[in-house]
Order: sequence, then C-alpha cells, then structure tokens
Amino acid sequence: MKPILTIDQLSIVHRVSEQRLLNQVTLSLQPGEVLGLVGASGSGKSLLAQGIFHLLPTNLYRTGEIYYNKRPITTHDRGTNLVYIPQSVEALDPLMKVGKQIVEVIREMNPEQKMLELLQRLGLQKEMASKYPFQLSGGEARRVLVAIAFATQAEVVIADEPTPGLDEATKREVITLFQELQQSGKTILFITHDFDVGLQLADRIAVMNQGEIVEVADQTSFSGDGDQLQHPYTKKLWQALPQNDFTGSS
Amino acid sequence: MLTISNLTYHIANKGYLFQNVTLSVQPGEIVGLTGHSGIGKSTFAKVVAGYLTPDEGTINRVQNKRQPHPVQLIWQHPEQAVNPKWRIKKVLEEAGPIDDEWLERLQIHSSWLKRFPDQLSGGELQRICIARCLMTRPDFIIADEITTMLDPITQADIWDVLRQIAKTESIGILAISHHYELLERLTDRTLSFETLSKK
Repeated sequence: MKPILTIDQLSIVHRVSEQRLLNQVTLSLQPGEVLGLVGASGSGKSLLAQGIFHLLPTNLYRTGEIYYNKRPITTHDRGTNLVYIPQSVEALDPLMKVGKQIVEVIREMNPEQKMLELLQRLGLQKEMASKYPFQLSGGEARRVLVAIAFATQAEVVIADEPTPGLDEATKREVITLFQELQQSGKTILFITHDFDVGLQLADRIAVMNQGEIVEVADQTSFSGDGDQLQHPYTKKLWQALPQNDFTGSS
Repeated sequence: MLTISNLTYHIANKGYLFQNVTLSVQPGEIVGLTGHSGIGKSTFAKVVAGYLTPDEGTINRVQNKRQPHPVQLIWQHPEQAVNPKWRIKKVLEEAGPIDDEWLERLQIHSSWLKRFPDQLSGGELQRICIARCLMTRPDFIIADEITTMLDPITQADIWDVLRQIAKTESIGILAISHHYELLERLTDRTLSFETLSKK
C-alpha cells in the first residue's frame, strides 16, 4: 500500500543558533492507520506537527519535504486534506458560535443538518451549537475540536496531545472518539506524552528522543520485558512505566 | 501525624464541593488520593496547605507566624508555579538560602540556576519545584498530579527520589493522581475522594 503521508528528512533549525531541534525525521503513515508519536516533553513532538502545517515560530525554519499521496504538500492541503487538532482547546475562535465554526469546514449540502448530526454523534446537545467556546467545559471543547476534524473531508488528522491532565474516564472517552475517527476511514498521527494512551490507540508507535525518531515499533512489541523493542531508549520508556519496572534513568 | 477532620468547603452559589472529609497521614507514609475530575481533590489540597480556608473542620498542622507552612503543595504544572521572570536561583531562594544537599539529591545541575524557567524542560522544572518545597523543611507534602505531564522515565526518576526522601526525612506524602498503576506502585494505601466526601 502506498503511504498517504510521508515526512521525509524533516529538520527544524533555529535561525540564529543553527541548533537542530528536529533532526532528519522520516515517517510515513499508511491509509487508515493510527501512528502514535511519543517522547519526553521538549523532545520535539509538537514541533513536528507545527512543521507539517507551516505553523513554526518565525525564529525557526524547516528543511526536508512532506508528501501527501506522493506529491509535496501545498498550503491548499492544510485544512482540506490534512487537519490539525491542536494541543490547546483555546484554538477555537472565541468570538464565533460553536455551530458556525463546525459549519464553516463542511463542504457538503445542508451543512447545518450535517453539523447537528455530528454534535449528536459526539454526545453533545444541539443547544451546544449556539454557545460560544468560553461557555464550554474542557471536555465539551475537545469534542467540538474532534467534531471539526470529522466535519472536514480531510483524510489525515494530526492531533497534538489531546489528553493532557484528564481523568481515566474522560481519557477513555477521548480514546473512543479517536477510534471512531479511525473507523470513519481517517489516518491519524496521534502525538502524546501519555504512553498508555498511545498504546491503547495506535497501530504503530514512533518514539522520539531529543529531536530524532529512535524507533518505530508495532504496538504489539510493547509487551512483557520489551524484548521485541530495538532501541535502548524505547526499552527504557517501556520499563519505566509503573506497571512494569518503574525504573528511571539511573 | 497529619490529621484532617471533618473538612468541609463550599463554593459560593454552587453548594458544597466536599463535606466532612477525614483522613490522616503518618510521617514517612505515602498515601494515594484518587477520584474523578472536578470532584474537589485539588481544592482539598489547597485547603490543607493553607491557601484556602475551610468552612468547617480542623487540620492539626497550621502555619505559624513567619514560618513556612508545615504542609507544602507541589503543583501539577511547574511552569505555572514559578515566576517566569525570575531566574531559577531566585525561584529557589523564595524558600530561603539554597541548600546544596537538596540540589544534589534531586540532581539539579548548578548551571540551571542562572537560567529562566522556560529554559528548562518540564521534568527539570518540576525538580526545581520539589527542591523549593523541601528547602522549607515541610513535615508533609501534597503532590497534586506532579508527574502527569511528564514522560515515564522522568516520572520514575522523580518518584524514586521522593520515595527515598519520604523515608529518610520522615516526610508524609499525600499523592493525588488519576493514574491507578502509579498509585498502586507507589503508595502504602490509596483513598478514594468520592468515598471520603460522601454527603
């Protein structure tokens, strides 16, 4: 099968210090798969997403290429073929009603009707459509962001840390939402520091350390003592989980 | 022993957040506290650490004049718990003269002291917050989701140090977390806030 999204030797470099924050990252996503990207905070996970969408701060630049269906991505792809669910729920437009924000991305007949269906599917009341983002709880806002991902025709969803600081019940709910996204045929790059969530959701896991991808492993390799894992850092990450050895760097 | 009896707290126009919560922590003991989001665990932590005043109930450790509070709170987001415009040295000095022993035990590099908070990673900054907490010589610590935002290796490192310190210094720790496996691994016993705050 040919990959739907290919990241080819992507580097992100600081303009002044020439420091490489992301070094030659190469990854490809097959249609319909969920690829989890895990790693410590500051390892460059979010930069990768920002790099794909050309959302980098001005003091950084990128080298390398990103392909969508084997052709280099263009600004037109952003929001149409690729959609980004950012880390912060503050990404919603604070001055626009929720319903309108969803309707805006729907490219079908009867967008209003479609929007109401989506709200229902995600367990939100239809009154939600006439609310402003500040009137939503954190969980509701997150569901609205997922609704927007559903509403677009985009085949590829890149989600940056959608589960920070959530309790187990809410976390399960978010996992279910993303499983539904996958079942609807979308390809997902799921960025998280929460290893457990990554393992529950992803088919393959890419492990990032200090700006480099050290290993891409099947989800099933993360079992037992981690004998099937190749890189020492990946093994360490696996063994550090409380349900495993709970051993740190020392 | 830290003894909290019948602690009750309400939010104006919203009713009681929790009522009659009673629990105790022994010196050197690690007690887990769990419960779903929004149930009032963090507010409870703030009340016990002296940031908020309860409606009713007693806590046997309170702040004496010009002394640090004997129950110290470590927060979930270290970057929100320090002044972003202060260098790390000044952040630490909030708790008094810098004690090199703690820096060493928490593996804090002396070069970090010159930096600003946004020049450290989440795990490094959390260690700074823990050092600041320990430099006040607390009897008890409330750790409110302190490793939720960190990767598993950093999480294991931080708890490894804290567990040792709890033992050697006889500091009791109340660890608030959603992470069942973590509490299972870490604590002597785990309490459910739902059960404790039955109305």
